[in-house]
Amino acid sequence: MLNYAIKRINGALLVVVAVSVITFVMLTQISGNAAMLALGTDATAEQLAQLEHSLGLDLPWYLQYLGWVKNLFHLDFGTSALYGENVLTLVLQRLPVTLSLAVLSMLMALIAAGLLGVASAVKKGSIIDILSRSLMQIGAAIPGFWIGLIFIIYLALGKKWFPASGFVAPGDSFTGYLQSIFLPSLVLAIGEVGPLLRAVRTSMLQSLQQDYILMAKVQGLPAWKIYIKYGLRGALAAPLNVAGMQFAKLLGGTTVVESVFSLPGLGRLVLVAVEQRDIVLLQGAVMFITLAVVLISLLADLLTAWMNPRIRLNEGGNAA
Amino acid sequence: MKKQLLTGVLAGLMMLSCAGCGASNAAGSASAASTSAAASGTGAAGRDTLHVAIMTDPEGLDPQKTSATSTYFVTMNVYEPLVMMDENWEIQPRLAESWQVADDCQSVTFHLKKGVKFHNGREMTAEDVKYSIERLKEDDSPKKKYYANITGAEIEDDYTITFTTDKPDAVLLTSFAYPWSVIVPEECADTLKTNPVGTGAYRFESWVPQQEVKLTRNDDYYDTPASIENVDYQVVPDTTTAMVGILNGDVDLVDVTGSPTTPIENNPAVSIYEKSINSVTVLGMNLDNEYLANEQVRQAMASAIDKDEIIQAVNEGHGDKVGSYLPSSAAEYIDTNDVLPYDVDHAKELLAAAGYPDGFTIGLTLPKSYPMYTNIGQIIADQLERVGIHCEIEMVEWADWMQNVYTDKNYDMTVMANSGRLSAYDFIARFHSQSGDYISDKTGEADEILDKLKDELDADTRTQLIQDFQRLVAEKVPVVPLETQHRLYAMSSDLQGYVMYPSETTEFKVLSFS
Repeated sequence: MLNYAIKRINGALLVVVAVSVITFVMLTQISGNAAMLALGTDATAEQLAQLEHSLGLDLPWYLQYLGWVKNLFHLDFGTSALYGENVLTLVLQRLPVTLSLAVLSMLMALIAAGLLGVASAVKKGSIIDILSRSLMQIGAAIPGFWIGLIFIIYLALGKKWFPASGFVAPGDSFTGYLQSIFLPSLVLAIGEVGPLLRAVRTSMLQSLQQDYILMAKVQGLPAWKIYIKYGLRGALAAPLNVAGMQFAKLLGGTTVVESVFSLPGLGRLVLVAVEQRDIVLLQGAVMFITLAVVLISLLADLLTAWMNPRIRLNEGGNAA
Repeated sequence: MKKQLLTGVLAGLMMLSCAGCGASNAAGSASAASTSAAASGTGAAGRDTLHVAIMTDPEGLDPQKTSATSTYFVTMNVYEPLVMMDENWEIQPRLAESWQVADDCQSVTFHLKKGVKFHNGREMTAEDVKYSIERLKEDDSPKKKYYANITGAEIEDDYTITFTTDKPDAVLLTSFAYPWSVIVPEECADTLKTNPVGTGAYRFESWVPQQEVKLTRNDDYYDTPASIENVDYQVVPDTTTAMVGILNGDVDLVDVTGSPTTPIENNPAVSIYEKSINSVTVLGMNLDNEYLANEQVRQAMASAIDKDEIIQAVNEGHGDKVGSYLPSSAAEYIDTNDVLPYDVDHAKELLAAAGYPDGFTIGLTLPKSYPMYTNIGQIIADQLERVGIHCEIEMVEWADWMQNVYTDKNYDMTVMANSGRLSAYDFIARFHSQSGDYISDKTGEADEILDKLKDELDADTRTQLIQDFQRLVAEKVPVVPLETQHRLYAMSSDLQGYVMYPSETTEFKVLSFS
């Protein structure tokens, strides 16, 4: 187990370093830079060159990168050229928003997909099955920004149940907090429920064909025990894997919903960092997302390995 | 596609707004307090806070180190310049009580108001004025080149300072009236970007990037204090969401320029402030291109473009058609629209005369961060197609535009509006063949007028020269001038006193709720 853990942690570190180099190279090689954008359309070429020099933007990318890494060893994530604010502060400010959205939308998607997935597997071909398969298609097909605007117009403007925009910190008002993240989470959940529902339904169908289900039926056990205790339990691995990947995706990819609902999340921070060529800010935000994703998958893998000796032994054997 | 969907949604919004009128009025201020994210904490009366929705975040809160208008929109309430250009284009005192410009236009002496305090409690003196203007000449000051001529600053006493220039400058005073020529305290200079300290009617409270900026009334203000106690800017990137906010009562003020305003137009809860901005939107052209170097080709393009159609389609009619490169609101403006009016047949004749009877293909680079300019560009491409000129449209990010178009001049045509200036010469100087600007007139035809203007001190002769310049641009077409857009602000109808200055800023201290 220890060998396996060390091997996975090494792999994770490699991913983090690779991502940081790729991000840095990409942003320094594409056209435009922070000095150009700061000066705008009134500056002369000489002034631009001077500012690029004093900001170190005229150095080759690897020297700029090494400078960034050096600061990182002093636990200094740097200062955003755009905002003049510490990058760590900016990233941490956004964490409550992004985490809340990711957690609440995954909860919504998991509950909906769980209920509908089990029901449509048990009653395969019934009206519930047809409805939930349509839901998968619709959820995947509707663009998030559109459904978001529809929600804002009918539920925020029309019914006044929710605020149209903005984020309320849970410390200020917990009800306000839930209201402010409910609609955006619902929009995200609608997008995520499809793949999850499909995973639950498929693996539930497989699980229901196992001998032990037949055995349970023969024994005359109550329906909930057959389907939930034995059926669903055996069917959980695949959907949870899908859910984990979706959660990781949500940590970095909720930009559109954040914009429609005016939420200050990580997605918009990354977007503005790229648009404004704010390398230090982008590095900080991307590093944070990468670390989070890597940690989640690392924990998930270790957990699975710990629960399932077959993986642990196989991987351990290969490593040795 | 996205635009069509938005239009559909907005149509729905319009219907809803009509249906919801009664309800939203009845709910009134109560809904503003209960639904708004930031309104919590204020009482049910709730009108001591001005809620402003802004589309883009300020790029730091140090107006001397950025060219972002989103920054000035906030900082104009925190910092103040020595003088101000009012809505009638007249210079008004701010931190300076009075001033004298020397007859030779090579110096200006300011007499400062006494007892003006920075928000950190220290009194502002001539030393701060000297420091602040010199700060505009640093490398990271975007407006550096406009202050190169101011070479000396002499402090007579704490409240008197004289700036001297290298060469005579007929419009020297305007240099001190911009949102960036504000007076800042030296001891706070390094942190102004995140923690602004000025002398203005509002002091800075807090800023969470991409979320909100909060200001509160400066009770030690040397002049009449602001009427509204708090200003709360909320970043709302989506216009539709912002419009819902204003219908809901969550938002009191929002810039809706370039968005369809039908949903809010006939709503008694919303009023609209409209004013032409101090700028000109142009089809910029690179005269190094072999086709564009040909004057007849450029004239053909000007004749082929239907500006009225552009203004109707993109600005819903909120714009003034212009025939040359000076804003319609400028004092020296003359109407040159009939020099090359829209005439497709004439355009075809000109093209044939230029040797391109069958037209040609040319690049059109559009900045996709500015939907207004990309929309205009697409209409132009369509109009030029009718005379045989095919545009290959390239949509680029703003940073790419800055690199390829502005810095490297590696482009054929683009659509852009440059930021407005308080003096016509500063606005048109980029056309000089040696300016190195992306729309510099490389034929050199404008140089004579611009060189004369630079040294001319007589006001009437200057006006004459600026009008000559306008005729020249209208005839020779170094760019195709399109329109002076109108800026549109939607605001809750009980908000009074809104005025936009020629520097496209507004001081919130004059606003009040009725």
